[in-house]
Amino acid sequence: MAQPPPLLMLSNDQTDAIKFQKDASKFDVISAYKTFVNDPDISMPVAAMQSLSELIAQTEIATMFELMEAVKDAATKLKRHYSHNSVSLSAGCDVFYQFISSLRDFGQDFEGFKSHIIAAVREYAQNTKQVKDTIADNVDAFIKDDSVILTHGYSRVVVNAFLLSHRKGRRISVYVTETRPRGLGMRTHELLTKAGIPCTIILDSAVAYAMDKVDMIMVGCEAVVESGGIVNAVGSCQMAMIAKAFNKPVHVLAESYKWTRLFPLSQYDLPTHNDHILSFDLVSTPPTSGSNSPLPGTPRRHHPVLRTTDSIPNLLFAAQRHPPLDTTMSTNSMSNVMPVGQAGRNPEVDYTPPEYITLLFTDAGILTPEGISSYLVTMSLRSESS
Amino acid sequence: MPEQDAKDHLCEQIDTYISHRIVLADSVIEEYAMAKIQNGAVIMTYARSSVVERVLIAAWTRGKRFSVKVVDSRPMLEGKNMLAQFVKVGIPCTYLLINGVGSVIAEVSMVFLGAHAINSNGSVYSRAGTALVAMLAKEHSVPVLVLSETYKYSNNIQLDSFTKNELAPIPDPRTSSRRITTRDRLGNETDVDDDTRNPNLQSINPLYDLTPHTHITVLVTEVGLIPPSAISTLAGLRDKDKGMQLSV
Repeated sequence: MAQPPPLLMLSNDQTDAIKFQKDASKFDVISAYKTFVNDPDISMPVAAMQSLSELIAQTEIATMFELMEAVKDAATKLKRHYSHNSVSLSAGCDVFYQFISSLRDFGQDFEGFKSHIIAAVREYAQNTKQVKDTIADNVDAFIKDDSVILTHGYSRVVVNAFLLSHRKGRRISVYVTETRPRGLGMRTHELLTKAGIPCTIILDSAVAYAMDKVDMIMVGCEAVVESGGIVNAVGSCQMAMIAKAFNKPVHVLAESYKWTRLFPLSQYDLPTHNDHILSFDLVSTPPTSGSNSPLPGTPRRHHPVLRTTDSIPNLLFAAQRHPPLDTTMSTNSMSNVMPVGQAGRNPEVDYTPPEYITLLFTDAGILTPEGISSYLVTMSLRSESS
Repeated sequence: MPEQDAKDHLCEQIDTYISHRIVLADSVIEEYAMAKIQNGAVIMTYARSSVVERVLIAAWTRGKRFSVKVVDSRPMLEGKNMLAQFVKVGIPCTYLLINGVGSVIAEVSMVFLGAHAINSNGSVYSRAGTALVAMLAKEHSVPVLVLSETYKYSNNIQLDSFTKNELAPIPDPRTSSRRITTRDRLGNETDVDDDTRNPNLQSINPLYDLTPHTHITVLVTEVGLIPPSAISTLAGLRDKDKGMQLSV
């Protein structure tokens, strides 16, 4: 038996948590993920990569095929567990899978192969800050003095970019939407205000009201999709559409591990969409034919699914990655304006089509939405033929 | 190389091409397109496309339940063939001519179209009438999926339907089995397609038209779902990898 595989170097308390799961057959990818994702600097896709890498570190599998299968299973488990907000997580898993598929020159040295992956992911996680800085440098050239910027939710890349520009001496002011229902905008407000950047929170519904005062929109995203559009916290699409109506540029900041081969044809084609979202309550009985299939030839296009009971648990308040920060404000404004049963019928993310996006700032450069599609297609074709 | 060897080599290349870029490609396209069909969907098709026919029949056979609106147009009426195949398998269908598309488009979830050729700027050269259907769909925010193998990609750029097209002969009224006639005020019957009677009348029957890339949501090919703006990336990679310079 070879020497025990190296563990990822983490902070002490996290190392203890991982050492606790020494037994590879009992490795729980979901609890590993939860541990990694608690780090405030680590985003969901990177945490996914780290947990898959940890699976490799702890596994006793000795063949390539079984390892790939184990990784695939773990990825599926993760995606299913977080199905209501899984797009960026999926992207991270896919990037990881493509990465290990592309490593070919290890031959018989399986342990070396595993160590290489673990080291690469560790370096990747440590470099996320650098990636954000690269993007921030590119963005800085587009921010003029006295700019008023509108952003949505909380994105580490965007906040990092603002802080960097501010440090360089640019005068910027920022509007951030509340971003219901999780109130992520509050976190952005907190961080920017602490750094001395004037920041005001506006209602999600006040975006059109404020748009004339804004010079540009800058948002992060959960994922960049193959069409050149993005998936981001719900409200991004309408912000982008309003910006287009007012001729304001919409800039998206996205690290390259967020690029995914998804191609949503509409909001309802997203993997995060399900029949419960935007459904109606009805007194009559639901259709009898099978799962959710209505009779063919039903006239309405996106017909709402009829449900009589509200048995779906409230997904939104379940897996909280960002617990409420400023207690008084958040509990008062975020709490129960909507009945809990209704809150579960709302989406967490939406899809912004490429026609509403001006530019995407990535660590691979500044690209137009068409450019991202070309890049993604080329990358996937290259990986297919190699 | 001896002549027979050269011939054998050529035949082998042709067989490989057909097998990879047509037969196998169709199976892959089937998988990608089927993933986009949800139960309860109302799918609109136009005229006849072998790929579209394959995809819908395969989806139905695998248990997806949806309905189809088959749009057709004169004089070819190719949609009837596809309709017959669908009905045979049991897919609930509606049949309409192209002038009825505006009335039903509001009920449609997505449009599946075939292609004769894909140009490098993402515009699609397909059976005449395709552009109309795609345009109406886009106006009503209905996603338009063009199903096509990559061998149909051409480095051409075409800006309109006139510069390159084919005119089909008007069916000979004496030999065609189906005659569509009109009656004038004196009760005289005239063949609609008979243009020999009036020297001032010229019938035109273009076979193809061009659908601009803005009216297309996605191209479903064997290499994946590609937005029309990125289609030109296919050109360089394909030829380089396979070494088969069989581009048009």
